[in-house]
Amino acid sequence: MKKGDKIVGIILLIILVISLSAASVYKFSIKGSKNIAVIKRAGTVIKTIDLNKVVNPQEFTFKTDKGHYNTIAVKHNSISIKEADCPHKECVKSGWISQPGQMIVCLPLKLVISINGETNTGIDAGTF
Amino acid sequence: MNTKPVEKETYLMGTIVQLKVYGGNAEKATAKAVESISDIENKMSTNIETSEITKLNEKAGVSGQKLSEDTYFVIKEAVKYSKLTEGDFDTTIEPIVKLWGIGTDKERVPSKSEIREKLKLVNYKDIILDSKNSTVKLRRTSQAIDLGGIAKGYTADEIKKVLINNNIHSALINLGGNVYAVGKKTDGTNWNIGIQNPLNTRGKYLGAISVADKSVVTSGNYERYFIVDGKRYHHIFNPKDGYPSENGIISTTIVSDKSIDGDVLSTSTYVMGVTKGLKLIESIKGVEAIFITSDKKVYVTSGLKDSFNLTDKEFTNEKR
Repeated sequence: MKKGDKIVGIILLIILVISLSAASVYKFSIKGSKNIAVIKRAGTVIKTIDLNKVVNPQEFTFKTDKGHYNTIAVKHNSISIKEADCPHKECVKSGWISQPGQMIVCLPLKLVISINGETNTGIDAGTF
Repeated sequence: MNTKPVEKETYLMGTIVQLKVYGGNAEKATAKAVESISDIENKMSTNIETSEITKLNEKAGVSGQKLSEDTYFVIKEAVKYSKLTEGDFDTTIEPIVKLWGIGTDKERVPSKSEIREKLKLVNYKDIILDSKNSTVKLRRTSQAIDLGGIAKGYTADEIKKVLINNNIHSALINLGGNVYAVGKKTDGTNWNIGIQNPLNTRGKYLGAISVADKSVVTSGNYERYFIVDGKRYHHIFNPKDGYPSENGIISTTIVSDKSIDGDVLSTSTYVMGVTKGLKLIESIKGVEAIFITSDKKVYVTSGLKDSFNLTDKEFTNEKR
């Protein structure tokens, strides 16, 4: 083997290692950045939003069959229930949530917002 | 092995029920589990006019009510725990629960005389059990039973039974914060159950415990409450004075094999306070507890020392 071949081999190896590690770092960071809010009414998904991709604050209103409503506000990486016509406004009092595993529940109107994603906490379920 | 669980979310017993079930038969097992929940609710809810408990309460002071095997069992267990806690848990609390109406559109702070009147009706010693005829009678008119502090735990145990009978070895049952971790995770490791930080929003945990095949039940003052003139009134009543229990404890978590025990004991120890509560739990084999007080102290019983991990540095682990 010539000396030049060896150098070329080493350079190729270095390039390969760099590109592989760059790819895995990229993949990992994208995976880790996922922050999907899932909005369900009576157990059925009515909307999903990638909170990570929200740039400008927005609001959505969801009505029930009986005309009751929850108004949901989103901003970058966060979601909350801004307004609702349920009796105790527990859902509105919950404020903003932003991390995988967190949840807002409006029991009277059967609305649940949960954030799915790669939990780095390793928690499987919560007791409250 | 199928590692993607069947997830089912439903609303029963005035709360949100979440099931996460692993295994080949998960679909069928989950459907059966949901059926069993509504069956129990139809028998034991005070909000359902045709339930056995509603009928029993209507006949108070007059005659007894024949009950299904499971309703009789739950009342018998409630009486057992009322005795064990010397009335710090009392399933005849219903007149007080109804008077305050917390969580309903009638919630209010009653007058002292109203509370005094209703408190006279609260006494588990007036529950007359007739096991031969599977019949229960309340001694005096207007007395009433509320299974709020025990029925959810019983339901979790029943769901677990249904799942296991349907060949399920790994599942998470969550009845509005009452968790049953069935078996282990599919990778063979323990489940990690987060303990709610009572001073933060839902889903913010102050720590976690690692368990397999255990019930983890929490009672907290943040769960259901209302505020009048800046004072918070929560839904866990002291059966001895008729007011929401105030003794420094703001959350109790019980880890046990049976969820019915966890449900009753989390409510009981919430009312007992730290010293008496710890003493009771340490005296019961196979049951462990985590108590959190308003001054951000965390008390853990001896059996949980290795499996509980306190992560929120604002709280201090009390050495006992």
